[in-house]
Amino acid sequence: MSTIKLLSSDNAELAVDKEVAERSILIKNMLEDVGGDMSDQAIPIPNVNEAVLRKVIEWCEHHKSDPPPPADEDSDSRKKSTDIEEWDQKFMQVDQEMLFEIILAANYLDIKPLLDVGCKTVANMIKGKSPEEIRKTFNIQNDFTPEEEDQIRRENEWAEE
Amino acid sequence: MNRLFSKLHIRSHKPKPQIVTYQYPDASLLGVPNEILFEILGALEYPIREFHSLARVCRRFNEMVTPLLYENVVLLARESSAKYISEDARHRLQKLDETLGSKRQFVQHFGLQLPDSPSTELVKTSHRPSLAQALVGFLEKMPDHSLKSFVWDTDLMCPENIFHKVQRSQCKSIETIFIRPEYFESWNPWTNVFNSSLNVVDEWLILSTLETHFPNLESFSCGRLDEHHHGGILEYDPSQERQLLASEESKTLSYPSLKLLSFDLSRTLKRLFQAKCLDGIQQLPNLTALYARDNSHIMKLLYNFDPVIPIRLTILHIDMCAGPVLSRFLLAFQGLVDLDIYLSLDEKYYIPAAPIVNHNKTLRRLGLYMKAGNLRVAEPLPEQLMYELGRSLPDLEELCAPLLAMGKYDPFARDRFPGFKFLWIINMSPDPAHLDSEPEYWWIPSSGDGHKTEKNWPGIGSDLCERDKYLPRKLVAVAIAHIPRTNTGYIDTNRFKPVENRLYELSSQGKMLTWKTISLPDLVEKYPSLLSPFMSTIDLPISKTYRHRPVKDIFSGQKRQTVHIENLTLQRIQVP
Repeated sequence: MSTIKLLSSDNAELAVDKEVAERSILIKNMLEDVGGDMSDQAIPIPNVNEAVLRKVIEWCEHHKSDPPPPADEDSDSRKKSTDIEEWDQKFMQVDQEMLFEIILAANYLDIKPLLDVGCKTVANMIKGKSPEEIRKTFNIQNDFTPEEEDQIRRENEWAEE
Repeated sequence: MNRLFSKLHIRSHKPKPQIVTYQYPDASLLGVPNEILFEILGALEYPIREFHSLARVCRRFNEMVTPLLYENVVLLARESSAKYISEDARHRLQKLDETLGSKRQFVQHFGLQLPDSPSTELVKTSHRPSLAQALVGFLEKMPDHSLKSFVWDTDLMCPENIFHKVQRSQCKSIETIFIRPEYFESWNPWTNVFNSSLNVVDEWLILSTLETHFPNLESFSCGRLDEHHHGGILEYDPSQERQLLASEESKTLSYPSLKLLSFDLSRTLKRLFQAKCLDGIQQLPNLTALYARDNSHIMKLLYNFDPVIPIRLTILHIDMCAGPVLSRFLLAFQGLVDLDIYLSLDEKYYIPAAPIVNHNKTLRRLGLYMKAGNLRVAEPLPEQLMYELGRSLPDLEELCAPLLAMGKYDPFARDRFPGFKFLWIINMSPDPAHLDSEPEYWWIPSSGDGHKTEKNWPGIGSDLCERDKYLPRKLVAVAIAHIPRTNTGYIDTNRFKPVENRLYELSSQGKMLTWKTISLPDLVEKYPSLLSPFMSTIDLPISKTYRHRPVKDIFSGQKRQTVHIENLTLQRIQVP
């Protein structure tokens, strides 16, 4: 099995099985573009630092033999936040900064299933929370006055379940 | 967009990719780009509930979420006493009316979905307008041509000016209409809209003028197919077939915008034929789904199919159609994915295996119901038919059918139907208690107390299999619908009791098979490609996918990603 090298934004060189790295559609397309031979040169991943890249590679290792996701992006096969498999749940037990780093990296590297797992994890963190709890969880500044917030609540009252 | 940008960048530098400096987004919820935020919103389990909270968190979230909150104004029954449900809807409409303001531009789906006959609306009072009239007032305030769907899913009378209003000011944008036609006041809206001199106004006349009145209509559902198979009696006489021939008028008309058509009305043949506007299915060149119950005109549609003109039909559910007409149609083209039909041993209605097998390259789901004579009852499917289908449909994944009677043949023996994943069977046993101890197939789980949630079964290769009994190899789930028999011993499909249904998911460890009960929503979530389930329970499977599920393309074309807004009124709907 051939190995390729990835160069993180902080200039760390990581060796990865080609098959594993190709979970990233970005890398896969790039390897195809250059004819597959990148054995002598590290592929720069300028948006992802070493720690995050290692994490992403760990995920790709574990999921290397997953079937490819459906090609049709419109398909109904998106699963809801309730079914994150156990390994992924553990994998995502990281601090919030790392969680969003992983999401951004998955988006940049075009690893849709990892992006989905990340988004579901965040969705679970939003679930059932009040506005104040959401602000606390994600460290968001409240830029509404109390009156504005109350007005929004009243305005949207009709749609409450 | 950063993904796209970076990809382009690297591609443009091949074969020597170089490091570029890049503004990296902040790794926090507010730092990620909108496209990722929308992905997160799309993963929410109860989006509406969470949208309410998110709207108040901060301005950025408010801007994102508000259009989603206002998108769907199909007022539905909330959890409260059914008696007062219309009061609740009225109250909500009033609230909405007060605060709508600039947000009316976000409304896309509009209508009413209430349980049958809210009692407070039936009493006419002079001091306040009816709920329906209040809706008209609301419609008046909507920007012209902004609505995408109109839903009238309630037993409340629909005052004629509502539809009039929709037709006049919203016609260009409307893509979906769902109505229960019997609750339009004497059909006057149509008479006014189309031609006041018409004596007969029915849904086919609506259809005949759709092209001009609703140029973008994609989905037209008229009726309630979600209740049960009707299995009515069809007047069909082969010697009168020429009456089915298309009229000259119809040959010049076509309805290219329609993708889904669903009907449920019994009208006499004579009346239907008067319309002369829609006689052949090729007049609907983009139709992918056709659901019809007890509607003789459907027969005419299929009879006049012209094989020279291609059609895109993939879903066909018909409750009753003359066997020879349906057989000819099924043999004349290929490509159905989901076929759901009623059969009868009566040669007028019987359909042999060949027309069904003609679609074997695409067919994933088959629903077959067997009708005995003129009685509204279900019967076990004939052995020969099941044998031929099982041999010739290796890729079929879902079957919905009545079980055979006790002690008869096993249609799954000898590895027939090898592609089966889901089986939805209608239990024919006269005695459910007996069935629990001796299920029809050895692999069907018993529902006996203490075993209902979990039971171990000997797996493939065990002794049972050697006795010429086969479990479909890919089986994942089995749904068993129990139908009570009437006093005469027949199974009465009209008295179907969902409460007796059972749904099991199968898992196997080595040679051990385990059945576990699973709820339908869980099953649907686990196997989203499933075609069979519908409603909240296991019903007779004609109804499931006939209405649209509102989906919003929140990236407006930039990146195609649909978000399914669950827990709204139209959640049962799947776009085929």
